[in-house]
Amino acid sequence: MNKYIPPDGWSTHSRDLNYIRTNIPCQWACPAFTNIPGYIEAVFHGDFDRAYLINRRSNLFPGVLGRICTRPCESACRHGESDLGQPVSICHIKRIAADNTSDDHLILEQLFSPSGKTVGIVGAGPAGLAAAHSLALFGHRVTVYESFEMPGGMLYYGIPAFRLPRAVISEEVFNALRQGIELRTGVTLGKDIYLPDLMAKHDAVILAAGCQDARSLNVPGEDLPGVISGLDFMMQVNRGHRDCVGRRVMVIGGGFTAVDCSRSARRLGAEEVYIAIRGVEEDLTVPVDEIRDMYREGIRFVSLVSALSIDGVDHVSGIRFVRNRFGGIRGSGGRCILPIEGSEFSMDIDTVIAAIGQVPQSGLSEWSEQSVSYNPDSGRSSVPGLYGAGDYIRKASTVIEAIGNGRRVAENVDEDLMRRRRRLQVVSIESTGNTHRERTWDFIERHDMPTIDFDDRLRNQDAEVETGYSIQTGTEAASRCYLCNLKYEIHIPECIYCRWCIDVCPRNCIDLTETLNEDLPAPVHSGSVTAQWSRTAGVVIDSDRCIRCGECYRVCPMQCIHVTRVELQDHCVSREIP
Amino acid sequence: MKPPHIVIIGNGVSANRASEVLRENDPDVRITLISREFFLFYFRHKLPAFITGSIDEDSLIVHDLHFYMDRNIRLRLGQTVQKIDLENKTLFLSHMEMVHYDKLLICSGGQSHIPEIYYPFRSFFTTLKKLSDARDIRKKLPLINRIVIVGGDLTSLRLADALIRSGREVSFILDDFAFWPIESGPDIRHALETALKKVGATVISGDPLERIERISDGDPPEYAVYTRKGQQLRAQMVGAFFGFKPDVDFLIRSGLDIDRGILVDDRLQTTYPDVFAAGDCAQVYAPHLNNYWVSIGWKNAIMLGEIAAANMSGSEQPVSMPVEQRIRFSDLQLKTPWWHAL
Repeated sequence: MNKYIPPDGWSTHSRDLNYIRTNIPCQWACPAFTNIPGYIEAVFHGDFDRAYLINRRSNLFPGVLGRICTRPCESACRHGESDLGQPVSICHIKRIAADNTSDDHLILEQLFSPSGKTVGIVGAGPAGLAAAHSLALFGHRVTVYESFEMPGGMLYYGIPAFRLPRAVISEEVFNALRQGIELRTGVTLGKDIYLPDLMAKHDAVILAAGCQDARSLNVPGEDLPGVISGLDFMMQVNRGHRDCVGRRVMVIGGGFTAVDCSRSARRLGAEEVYIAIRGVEEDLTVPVDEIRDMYREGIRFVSLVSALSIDGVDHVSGIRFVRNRFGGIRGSGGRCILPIEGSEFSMDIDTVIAAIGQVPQSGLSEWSEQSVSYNPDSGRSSVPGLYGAGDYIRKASTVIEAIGNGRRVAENVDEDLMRRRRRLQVVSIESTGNTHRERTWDFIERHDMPTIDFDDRLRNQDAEVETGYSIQTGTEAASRCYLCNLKYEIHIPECIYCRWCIDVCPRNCIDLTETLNEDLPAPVHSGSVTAQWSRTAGVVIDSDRCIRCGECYRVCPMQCIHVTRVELQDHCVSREIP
Repeated sequence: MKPPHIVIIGNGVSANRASEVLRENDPDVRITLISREFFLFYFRHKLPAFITGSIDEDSLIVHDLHFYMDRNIRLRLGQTVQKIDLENKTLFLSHMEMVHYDKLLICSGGQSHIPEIYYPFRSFFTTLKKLSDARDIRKKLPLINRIVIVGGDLTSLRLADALIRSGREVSFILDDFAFWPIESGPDIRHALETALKKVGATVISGDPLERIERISDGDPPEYAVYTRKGQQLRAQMVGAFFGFKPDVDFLIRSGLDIDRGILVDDRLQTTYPDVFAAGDCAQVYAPHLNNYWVSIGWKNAIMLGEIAAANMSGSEQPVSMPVEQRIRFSDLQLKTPWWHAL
């Protein structure tokens, strides 16, 4: 049997892990390594419970992330390559699974037996909760200390309800805490509790306090009434402490917070809302749907500008900008943004919201920030037993990054506490004997997310704007997925070199090759494509270009094209790995 | 040694004028025009007349093939540039061909703009930018009697006039986005409304589009168009005419600086020294406006094409602001600078 066609089973071989990295771009782009093709296929088959479970194994909050994820997976999706159309609407499909789970669906967890160890976690945001959940599964007793009155962190206080309904947060946070995690809210580190006490009480302590100090604009007039940081503004809105804003609002910044502030300001009655960005729209980290919604709500971008000063006597009355231009590429790889001399101009506005990012809160612990250093990937610190997770050690990032980091830090904490690795990522390999796809599905257009009318958005400020795919639309959207976790390989000893597969391949990804490189994740050619029969060693499929359309499989007269499902999965080490 | 290869993306006004100037400046340089469209360079403003059958396709053509043969300009029609590798000066075409260039001029022009608020209805809209759009409309027209036009740019005014002359019933829904590229105020709005009514259009003003429903799938399909104040119109075709925006989607993430259009300096050069942009796709900073602008219209495109070609040949010509021109619709005359401040 050809050695490239592995039997069903598990693998920790770097070759197979490398296959996932290079051939399932969505999963590898996800900071939590979510098995995206796996849950999309489950949605396609209408098995929303299973889709939700697959998702939740990596990503603790599928319903939340199905609404507010930054979607790095979609940017990496093979369907979005320039000649293949638009990426699969992965995030919307994730949401349909979360919205349509059956009433009696089971949440299955892989529970280790109690370890007798205790872990304290400061912060009940996405990173803290993800770490807490993982550690609870590992059998440790976990206590989460949260300074706010509600768990959820920025999910609850930073993101507006019209994007993320509170009921969705509550349900998924509740499910995360159900493994016996003790939650203590209204407890502030450095005020109600102190780090040395926590270190003494617990076997390990994780600081996951997020980034709660707003960055300063550093321009004259920043202290005027009418100027507020984006985070403070959103917290006031989300806690119900703010019911009005100015008439002409300028939001400065190009991230999600800026967008949330602008849309919230519109709902609070602002007539004109602008977002000022130093660069251009292309630089924004916000998905295009969100930008389109902003435009629909009448919010306008002022691109290529930097704030020089905020004007006013007793209150903000205007803002002065200078126009920018790009000045080539900086050494670090980013684009250089330079002011255009003499291009200063002013705009009349009465509110400025500075949403240019957050930094970790200083003075949380008795130790100065300089005296403790953290490894941003492992979460380990220079102090034994002390760890950091999420934005607190990685600067402001996204919810999915925080969740992914929280889980990884929890695994490291467990490894340190138990002195061995108890959960590993392995590659499962399973023959499918089927392509699971039809070629016609490749031509289905991406579906827009349905939204409520503009008037309804203003009438009910908390009304969720995106209403979610219908089941029919979701199923159709799921059928667009190429299922890149399916690996197509030609069993060369059986191949008769008829080249029918090459003829029907729509993407020229099957080649005659002179050499076969057995060390690569799949028998891909490495610069040895040939057109000469006398030099042909085999016919190979370039998995990186392959769109898993199944045309080659269907046409092969020898049935020598094999399809296997290759998936990255968490595996408890106590179970045998062949 | 082979003479340098200049590739121009586009086959519109700027591209053709630039190719002409480049050839005048250097008889040896290799010039290639690559266009997504299958047609020779044509007059866009005559498309409404072509749609209603007043003129035939040949009358649209600006330059026939001899123009290019005489000037030794290679014309590649129906070929789409999918990707640009700026570091290696290579274009990737959709049919998997790679084309090397020494200098590149991007004249990809504009594309129909649909405001985001109307984006959910985009599949119902008919737009008119290219000859292929015009051919489609002309083919369907014998079965179409009632047309609703949403927006109201200059193209739509010309089209409405032509359609009404050919006996069709045209309703206009004018809203805040109307009259592009003319800076509209209440006076101009009223004057245009009067002019439209005079040519025979039904005009709905101050009552914007709310939604569109497809009510029958026949040939032609039937649409119900609803306004915010509850008016309902029936149509067999719904045209969206909100002006044009730079056609630069294929350049996103290419490494070129893109805002609304391709950001170029006053020499029409991008941040890459051998890459220039001209015409409707170029975004230029104008010091006396203290703003960036994107130009539109034939005369501006000629001017920008000439300047880009001169600068690609070694000159240092700065771009100047276009002068104000007049446009005429019915017996109404309006001034427009044919540029659009951002």
